[in-house]
Amino acid sequence: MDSKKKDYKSLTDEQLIFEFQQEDVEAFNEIVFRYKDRLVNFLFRYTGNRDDSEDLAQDTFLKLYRSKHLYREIAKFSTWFYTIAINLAKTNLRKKGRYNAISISEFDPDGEKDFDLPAKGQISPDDSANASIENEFIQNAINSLNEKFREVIILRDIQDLEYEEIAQITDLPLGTVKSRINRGRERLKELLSDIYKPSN
Amino acid sequence: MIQEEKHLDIREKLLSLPKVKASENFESKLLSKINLEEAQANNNTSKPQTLENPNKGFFGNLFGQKNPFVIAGVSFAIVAIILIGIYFVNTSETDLTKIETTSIPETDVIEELKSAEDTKSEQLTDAEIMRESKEVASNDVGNVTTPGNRNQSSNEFMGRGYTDSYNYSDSPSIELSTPEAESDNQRGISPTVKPRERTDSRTALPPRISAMPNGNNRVHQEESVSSTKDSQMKRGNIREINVIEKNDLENLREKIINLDN
Repeated sequence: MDSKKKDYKSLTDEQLIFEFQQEDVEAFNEIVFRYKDRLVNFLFRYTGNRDDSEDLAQDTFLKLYRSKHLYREIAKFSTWFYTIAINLAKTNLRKKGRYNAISISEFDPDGEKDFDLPAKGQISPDDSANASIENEFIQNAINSLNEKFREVIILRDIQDLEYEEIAQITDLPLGTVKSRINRGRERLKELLSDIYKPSN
Repeated sequence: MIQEEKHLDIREKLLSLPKVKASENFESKLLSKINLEEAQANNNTSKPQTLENPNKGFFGNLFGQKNPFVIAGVSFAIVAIILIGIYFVNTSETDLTKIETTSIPETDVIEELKSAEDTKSEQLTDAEIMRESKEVASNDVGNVTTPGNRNQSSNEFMGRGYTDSYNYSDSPSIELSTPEAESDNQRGISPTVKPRERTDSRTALPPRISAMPNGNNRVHQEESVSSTKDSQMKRGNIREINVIEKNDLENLREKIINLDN
């Protein structure tokens, strides 16, 4: 029996979802094992809330469980899976009404108004030994980004996905994705300029 | 690539952010959610089976679904079929009553015809028929047919069992007494035939009849018989019997004339 047991760890994501489409629940368990941390991290950076990210990650896996037959091998499984996750995250943000509350830059589309970060004298990266506080500032800066910049920045610089894959997930042209990533980084740099001195 | 190098510090910062991991009970929570989802799916599939019949009602059980448009449409069709059925039943009943009302006189006429034929056959012997036919032939030979004679003969027929009070005075008569008619007759032009109103045989004045060629008289007699036939057809079936009998007599008369010749 053990000899017949499949080595799911050696299978690719596409092979796993194919096995799961054949009602192999072990393949689904392997997918959960592979993607749960990545998905929770992505959703946490996108929503800024730990509980929401956990719930959304579970909802994403649940949707995968229900809609496994909808996957077609025309794209990478990770692309399809992130698309599900980001759509659920957007829906959740709209439901909670946090979409406008968090995005400060939405009220300042031209970027003339800066994100209200703590003053230099109060909190400084040099003075702060707690990395969690630094991460919190970065997360706040990410959350302050406009949604169209935030999603591509997270997918590229946090999840480390390729431009083409991001273009497929966001359903945007490749040039638009690159442009948005560039503008999002510039905006983040401006927001974090009080914390990090630009490196030349 | 140039854009990435331009903001490489930001990218490194973002990549260096600590990775948030799923909680330890993430999989158990996910499993509970999946089980709950499957249980709800099972309930959704089992609930309609258990609660289907009580909620359906009469029409739901009848049509198998709760689509109100289907129920309304089928109901309308049933009502339409019932109305059409009632309409056809009523129309067929009225047709039957019409047939009954129209058939009654025909049967009566047939019975009357049979009874008349019986009485005729009983009362008219061959000798009498011959005598009657001779009288008609003598009238033809004399080229004169007087209404009085006809009235007499008809009265004789009436006295022998005919129930009709018809007499020949009802038929259009030939007026030959006018000078125009006489001159026309001398020139060989057929006289005009004018219909005369029905009068009682007792009060009707006898028409003035002059001599006329035998052929013309016969032609006009036939015309008068045909015109009386048409008028009698309008008066009813009983009078038609007399017309038929008189036609028979005419035929018989012609046969006798042929025999005499």
